[in-house]
Amino acid sequence: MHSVVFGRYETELPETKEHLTLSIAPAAFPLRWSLCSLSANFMADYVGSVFRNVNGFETQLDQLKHTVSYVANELVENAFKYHHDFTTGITITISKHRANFFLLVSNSVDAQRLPDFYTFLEVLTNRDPTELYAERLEQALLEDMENDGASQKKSGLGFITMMMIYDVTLGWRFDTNEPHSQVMLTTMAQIPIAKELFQNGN
Amino acid sequence: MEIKTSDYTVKFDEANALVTCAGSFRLNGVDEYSPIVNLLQSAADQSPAQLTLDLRGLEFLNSSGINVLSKFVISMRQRANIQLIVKGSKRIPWQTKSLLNLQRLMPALQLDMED
Repeated sequence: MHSVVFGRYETELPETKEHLTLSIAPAAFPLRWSLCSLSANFMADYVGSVFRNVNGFETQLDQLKHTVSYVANELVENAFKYHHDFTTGITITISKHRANFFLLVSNSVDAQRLPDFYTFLEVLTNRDPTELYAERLEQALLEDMENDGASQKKSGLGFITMMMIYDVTLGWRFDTNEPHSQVMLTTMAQIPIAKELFQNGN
Repeated sequence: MEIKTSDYTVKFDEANALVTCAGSFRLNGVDEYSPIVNLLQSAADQSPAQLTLDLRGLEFLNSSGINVLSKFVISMRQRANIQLIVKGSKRIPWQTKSLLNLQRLMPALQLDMED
């Protein structure tokens, strides 16, 4: 097996006492779009349960839950859209390490699309997000006009929004299993926890 | 004119040139947003002197929603005769930074953030 990594992908996450994994098996039932928001809301509620006493810091906890919900929603939406091999499932894991939550979403990808993915991520990880945001939007608008309202290419706005608005650090790892050439993508989102939430024995 | 689902409502008050969005926008891609886009475009096509977009009740917006809103704002740049006003809430986490971003796309946009 060989791996290709983009962005910040922490390979040495320590053993955790606590984490939560959701595993969605597409072979068992058709993937329903509502599962994106269901999974996202569940992950956010779980994060809320990790902090037992947040007196006076409810705003910080709400913001953290909202960030987890947004990130989980986006990553799961992507996994549903790009999932290729329906004999394997989609996995969503959340765990806490020191001052961050790590959200990982895994799905299979089409090996034929790898060059496009790699190019897309090269740009995303090497350009200033604010500039790229405006550029991608204008591009998407132009494409809409050329394709009569249907923009076909992935704009990356979800990832850019995560980095710009939610201060999330992103990484991507593509694992290829020779000789079958099955490719699994794991997207890692590192979500910072406000220091106020570590008061009161949390 | 109103679009109402279990997750969100979008209302167009023609007399006051006001579009109000509330709830959660989590639609699958820009295609599913087209009824909302059409409503926004109809509101702009009335050519009011001022068009207000009230987002104070919009709790959640996925990236396709951000895409759609941003593209609408960009299209409004061509309509210099319409003053676009966006009302947001500091109470909703994504709105402060995201709506400032919208303003960067269109500096003439008037942004009113309430506490």
